[in-house]
Amino acid sequence: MKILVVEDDRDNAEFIINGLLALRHSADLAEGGIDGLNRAVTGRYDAVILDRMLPELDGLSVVKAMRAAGVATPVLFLTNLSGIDDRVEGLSAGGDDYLVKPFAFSELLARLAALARRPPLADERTILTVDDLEMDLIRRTVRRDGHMIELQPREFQLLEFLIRSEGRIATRTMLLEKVWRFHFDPKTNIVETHISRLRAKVDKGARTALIHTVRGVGYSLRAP
Amino acid sequence: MRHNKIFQTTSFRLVAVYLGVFTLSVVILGVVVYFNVGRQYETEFDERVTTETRALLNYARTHDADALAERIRFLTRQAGALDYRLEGPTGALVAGGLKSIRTKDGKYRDGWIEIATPEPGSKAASDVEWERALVSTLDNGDVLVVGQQLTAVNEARRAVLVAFAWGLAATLVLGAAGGLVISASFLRRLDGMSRAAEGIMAGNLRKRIPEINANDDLGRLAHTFNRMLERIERLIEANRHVSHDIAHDLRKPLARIVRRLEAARASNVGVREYQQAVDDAIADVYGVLETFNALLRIAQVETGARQAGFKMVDLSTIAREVAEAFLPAADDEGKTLKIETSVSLALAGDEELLKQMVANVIDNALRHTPKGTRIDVRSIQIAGVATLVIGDDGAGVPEAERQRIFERFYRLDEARTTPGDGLGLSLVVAVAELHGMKVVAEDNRPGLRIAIEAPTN
Repeated sequence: MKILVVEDDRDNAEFIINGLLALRHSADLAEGGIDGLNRAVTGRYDAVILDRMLPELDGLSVVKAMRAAGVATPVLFLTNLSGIDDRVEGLSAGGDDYLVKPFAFSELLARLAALARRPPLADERTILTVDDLEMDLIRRTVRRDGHMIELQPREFQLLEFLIRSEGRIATRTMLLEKVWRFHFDPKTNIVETHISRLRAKVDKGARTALIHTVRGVGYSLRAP
Repeated sequence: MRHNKIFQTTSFRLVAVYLGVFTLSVVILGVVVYFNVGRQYETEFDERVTTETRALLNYARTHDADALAERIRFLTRQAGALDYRLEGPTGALVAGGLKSIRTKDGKYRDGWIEIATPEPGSKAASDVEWERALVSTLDNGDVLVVGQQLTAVNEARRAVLVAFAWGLAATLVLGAAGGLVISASFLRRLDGMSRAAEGIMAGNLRKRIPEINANDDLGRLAHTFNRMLERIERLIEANRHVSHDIAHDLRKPLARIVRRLEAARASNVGVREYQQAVDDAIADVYGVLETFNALLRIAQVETGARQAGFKMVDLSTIAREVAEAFLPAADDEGKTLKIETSVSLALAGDEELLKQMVANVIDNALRHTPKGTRIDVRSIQIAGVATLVIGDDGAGVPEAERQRIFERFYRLDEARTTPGDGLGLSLVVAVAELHGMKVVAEDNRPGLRIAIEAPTN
């Protein structure tokens, strides 16, 4: 991935860029809002990591200007503000995702990967398949190796999200946000317990497991 | 001091102006009535005198002088009679009691005259009674005078004057008194307001303006001010809470992290152990951050900033959705989660916060109950109020402690060993109150139940 990091906090910028370089991604740094906007508009990036509070031009203005200039590069907001309104503000300004500092690098990476490989807007597939797993979005049915699997509505949504993120990692918080629309972290293991039920239905008795746990980070669905 | 203030109040000035205008109009009315009454009386008098004179002149034409004199004497004796005088051509009195109308040189004129007669029994020159009389010369040269005292007219005028004077006096007294009373009460209420403001400036945030009459303009003003003060108090309280909580309750976990890291640093162990110590420290720091965020969020909710973005939502639907997310987890813990949410709980609210509110209550129920517990999430009507009730049949909370579970960082002694930061239910209360809902902890016989009452408006 080629990532643009717009961040004025040197420590945090270094943390992100070193982490990205270590994984053989490429990363550019802009330390101010105007520099960031110039690079975002002129360069070709898979995603932009954008701090909310920047010198010269704040993050919200940067993303608004980007969108006004017709740049569709996905934007991940980083912020110290954990307020609920701030997230809504960031997303309605044109941001695609939102992460509150401090964060685990694995969380950032998983979200970046999801953004960078975001399917085109007109994803009109009605049948999703991974290996011998088949999901019919119209009929709301799931088959594995031809056998029908009965899923609860929420389990269906969870599986759909995992299939659409095939090969990438879906973190616990991503799943809470996208599947349950919980923007907080319940003390109870909601994700884990649902995954284990989903596994029991999808992977049990199959030749190979499709749903994998990425320890300490989240889950991933991929063909063997 | 106080009285000067009264005279300076707007209401007193207003009353004074009204009083002045009113007084002026009363005076004008008095003058008009005074003159009208006089004129009316005079006209009537004159008519009576004219008629009488005409009658006597007719009489004189058909009778001789003696008969006329006799007639006049007769008339004089009647009750309510007019005054008469019949005199010879030289002025000698023939009949009647009126005094002479001639000047010293014996001249007179026909027509209306006014004669001053001293008031009987009084010697003062000013105490005269006026007599209005009609003078006519008869064919034989005699002079007939018919008159009437003006006392009645003057008395009527005086009565009018007296009545208006009393009325005016009463108006002035009542108006002034009313003005003082109104101004004093106005002033008293203003004083109440400024006392409240001073109290607040002196640090007593609980001071409120006395709301004496909620329906008038001052009352409404006081009410608005009080609501503003309430809001300010809440903001300041929330602020104070957060700083207090951070100071006292985040120290403990931070101290633990430092202790662990120092212990690892001091001991002579391998890389694996170091890594473990670092991992533990990271996990601890995230725990601290989570607590920190929870505190900030509670504070944020308590300040009520989000109310602007409220939409119509059904808390029942939200509760069902959230509770369903907990089903597998409850199952894994060997607990039963029953959801029965057929009663609608429509309200203007923030879906995200309401979700977290419900999740926190269920979280709490799951974490503090033993295996085999049954947890009910129900929306029901209690005495006509739609209520979300989340109850368990676990060990419950002793009555004395029941309200304290909503306090920040409050944890039952038995709960100290289970994970949790003691903030979950504080957020529940904050969110509920933001939505105008009431939260109560009750005995579920056995167990604890949290009832969240929908706002009634």
